[in-house]
Amino acid sequence: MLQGTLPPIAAALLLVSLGGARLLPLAAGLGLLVAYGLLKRWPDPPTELWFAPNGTEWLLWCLAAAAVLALLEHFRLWRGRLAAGSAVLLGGLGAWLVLAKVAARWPLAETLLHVGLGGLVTAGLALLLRASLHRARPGLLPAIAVTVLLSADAALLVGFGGSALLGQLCGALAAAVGAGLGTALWRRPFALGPGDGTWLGIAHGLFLLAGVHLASLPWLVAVFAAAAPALLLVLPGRTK
Amino acid sequence: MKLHLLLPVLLAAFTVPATLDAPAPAGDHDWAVDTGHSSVVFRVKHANVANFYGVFNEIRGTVSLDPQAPEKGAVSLVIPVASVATRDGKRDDHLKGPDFFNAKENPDITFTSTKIGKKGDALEVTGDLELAGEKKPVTMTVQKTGEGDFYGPRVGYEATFTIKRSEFGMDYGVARNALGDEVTVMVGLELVKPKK
Repeated sequence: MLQGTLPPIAAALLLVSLGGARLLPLAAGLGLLVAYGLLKRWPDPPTELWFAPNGTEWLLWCLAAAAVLALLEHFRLWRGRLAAGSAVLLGGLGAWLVLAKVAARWPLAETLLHVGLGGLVTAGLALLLRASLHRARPGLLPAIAVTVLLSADAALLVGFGGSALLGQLCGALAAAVGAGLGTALWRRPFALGPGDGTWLGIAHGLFLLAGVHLASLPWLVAVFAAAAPALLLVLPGRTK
Repeated sequence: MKLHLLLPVLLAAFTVPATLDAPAPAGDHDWAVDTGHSSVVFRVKHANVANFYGVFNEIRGTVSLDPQAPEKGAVSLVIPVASVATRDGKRDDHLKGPDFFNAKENPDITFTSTKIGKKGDALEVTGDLELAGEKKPVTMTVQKTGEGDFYGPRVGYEATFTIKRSEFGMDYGVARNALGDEVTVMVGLELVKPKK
């Protein structure tokens, strides 16, 4: 378990302490890849996965790509509709890549249904998280809520999905956000922005999608879990 | 290498001729696996305490083997991961999940021979074992267990081999020694003539 959580915690503590919350996506992305390397093996590069797909490893690379988008947005190199549009595209693409291998055995109608629905939900979650974090008052509360959200996802993946691997990887992301949050003790301020909504929303969506289609997470549980970020909208908003 | 020991066992299991869905080979030396009378049993140490046994309830495949020229033979075996059974449904689901076989992405365990040779009275079969999406070469010693006539000619083979599951990316519980890395597989094949 420590192999899964220590890399993202260490990366978040180091990078967020040095560069602030804007480096959290980088820490989470790097931490996640290293965690997978320690838990299982180093993921194959996308060039190899394209020919020999592996849903879990595609998930990792999609989250790494989402982290890069978030990083660019934090540094104002990527913003506005371009940032939102790329989050939607990556959400849809991520669903397709994560399901690529299992979908190869599905009939076309089933593929369109599961990949289409998965892509829509993941893209929608990225937009919802972006909007929620844009609307929320800057502070620790949104980060606490997101840590709880990802922790709950991890628990569901282990408890209902029967996959320790997916649960540990999702828990690693929760640990990264939690560790970043912890830096607020000696380095203020810590606040998540809309850019973080991209990688957090895509992570939430893709982990649940993988739980349903790669493990045995029941659909109903996944649907309720997917809807959970709507609760972020009740967080106190920014004052005008 | 233990993998090589396991391969002979797999090969033995796979040595039985064609199975349910596989196209039946034609020829005097062609056989099909009689799924109902063939067995795949595996053994792994739990918590470094006791040997735990599980089975795969289904194996199918084809074997083409000329006893006079085994090097010209071929073995092709398929074991559906969904047929794994350990007397506990929840544990079976865990085995089928991403922590072990990742059955939704890799529904079958396959063995395809690449080389068959004689080893004393037995056969030494080398081939590619694909498990959980990882393909590794395996060599196993295959013993003939008998032959006879029971609603048609039949022949039996058996192999036992050991693999390291971590080499196939299945390392759940290895680090904590909750479940051993080495898995011994015992395959008993009964081969029948394929239906024309």
